[in-house]
Amino acid sequence: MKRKLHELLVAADPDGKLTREIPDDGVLILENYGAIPPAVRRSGYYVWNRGFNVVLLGRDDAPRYFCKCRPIADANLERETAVLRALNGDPELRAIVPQASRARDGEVQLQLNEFVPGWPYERALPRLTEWAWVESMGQILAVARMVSTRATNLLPSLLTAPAPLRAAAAHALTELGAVGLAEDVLQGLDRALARAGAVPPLLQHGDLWPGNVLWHHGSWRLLDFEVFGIVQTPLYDVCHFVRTCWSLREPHAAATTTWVARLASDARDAELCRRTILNEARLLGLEPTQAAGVLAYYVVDVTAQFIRRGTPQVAWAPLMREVLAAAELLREGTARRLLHL
Amino acid sequence: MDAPGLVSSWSDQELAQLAATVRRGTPWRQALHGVMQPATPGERIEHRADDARGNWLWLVDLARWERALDVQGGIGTMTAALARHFTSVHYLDATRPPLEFARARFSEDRSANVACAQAGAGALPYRNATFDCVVWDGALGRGVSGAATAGPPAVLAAVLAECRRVLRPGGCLYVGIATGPVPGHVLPAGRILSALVRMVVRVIRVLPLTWRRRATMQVRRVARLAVARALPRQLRAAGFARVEAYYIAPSFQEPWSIIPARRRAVLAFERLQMTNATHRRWLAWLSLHPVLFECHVFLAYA
Repeated sequence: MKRKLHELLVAADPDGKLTREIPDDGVLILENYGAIPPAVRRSGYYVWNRGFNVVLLGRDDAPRYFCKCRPIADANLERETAVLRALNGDPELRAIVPQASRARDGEVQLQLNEFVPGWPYERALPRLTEWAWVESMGQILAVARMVSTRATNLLPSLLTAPAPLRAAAAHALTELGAVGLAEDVLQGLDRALARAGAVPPLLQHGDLWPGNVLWHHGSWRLLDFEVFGIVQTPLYDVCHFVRTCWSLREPHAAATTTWVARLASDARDAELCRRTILNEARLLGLEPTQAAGVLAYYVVDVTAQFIRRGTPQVAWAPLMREVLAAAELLREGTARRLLHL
Repeated sequence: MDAPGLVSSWSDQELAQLAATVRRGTPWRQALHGVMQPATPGERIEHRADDARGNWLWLVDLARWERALDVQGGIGTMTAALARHFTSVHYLDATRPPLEFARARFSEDRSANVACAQAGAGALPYRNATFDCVVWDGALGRGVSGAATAGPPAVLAAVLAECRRVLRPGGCLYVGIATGPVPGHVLPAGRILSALVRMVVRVIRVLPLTWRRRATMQVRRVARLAVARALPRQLRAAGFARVEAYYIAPSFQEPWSIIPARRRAVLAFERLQMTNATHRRWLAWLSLHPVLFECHVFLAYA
């Protein structure tokens, strides 16, 4: 391994265990998405990329540590490490959120976590019975709700002033308009969001999907806090989690129909999703109308995020169809129709 | 945005087309997009990161990061990666079209630390112990000048010896070999392994045609074991003191994972994958992991 990387790992290793346990060739690179140092184009603009992740193997080649390596220009890693440290400092969250340390030099920054073995929810999900699916979703969403609620006290500096959903979605709607979403659709969504009013801010995981949930030693653990707290609309994580769970369980249905349209239907899986969302909304103190407003906000925001990242149309086109489906349902009545109320 | 297929080299025709395009003043990225095969529908092209191809350098243990050489530079992807880690980088290619393209690319990118020249990998125009790192990417994927008529083992021996000669003590050679679906075309397997493969392929002929093709392909992949065994042997014969082997998955073009080529490391990797490919874990458990990967990388230290 490059000496610089080794030195940074040693610097990030608070108790010196790493240097004893990890052989020089015990490096497994995963999610190798971008160069470190990044490519510099002629203008001097640093190309956005995500660096790579590393699993450090022990002398027996068993995974010991997980390490994220990013270019120094990446602000997310520093933020994530600060969030993880704050959350891991809470006795109740210690078993849910990984411990993390960080080191950097002039070229690379890294975040070091102990490797957490376990069973990814993403792998188990397609084979779960309906009952087990609903039960496990409830458990995971309860864990996420606890993290969000406690984080709001632990990380008050992340909180922004409460804003109406309409104002929170204004920028995202402009971005959707810029890629060709029709003006009447935008206006319909804007009116529906205005009717939903405001919701109290609650820090959200931001990427709560089955790939970021692990069953470890009899409890659920959440992973990947890179965008934690950027979204502060309660129920956002719930909408994202339920939608991605449904897509993974019903890939054929997901390929032919939108989740929003399915959710408003009389299908059995739709009823289960609606019940889960409304139950979480009740526990978060939201009215059903507010819940439906958040659902519309969620599809708008998640689509705009994909577009903002510069992903090709093929990646965000299915999400745009969700936006259109939401707009269609909203045109027919109030936002409440989205949740079949 | 680098190679058109799993193997890491472009065809001579594509290279000539690229050279002609940049000669007309087209920016190199635009020229590449023009020649590249279109992405398959639904492909997440935002993750096609040729930039990430140089991250293997984080696995390399070098005392000095001053001079590097890319012996069969092609369109210059690896040279560009080396230029971000080393003070000075030399690009070589035996043929004119890729050299023209690389010159245009590095001139356009104002890469002041890259020098391009035309030379074959079989006779490197440098003094002994000149470089800290030498890269031979897509080894045996294209013909090697000066050894065109020789078989792959002879080409390997000639190029590896030259690479060892120009490396400083403690320097590192990177050899990347894409074995493809029929690895015997890259490096022939030994007599026993070849005979076994032939026998099984004959037995497979009793299967219906649709199954037969797939089964034959799977069996022929066993010849990848020869690459995994022969390369370290050849590297040691060329005078390298230490050899580390890795796999790149899924391809050199999209190097999402770099996996140490050891049984338990491959098993750890397979367990981290979301797919439930039990047969892959069985093959890894049986130490037949070279069969699972098409892209093999060897880091050899002088």
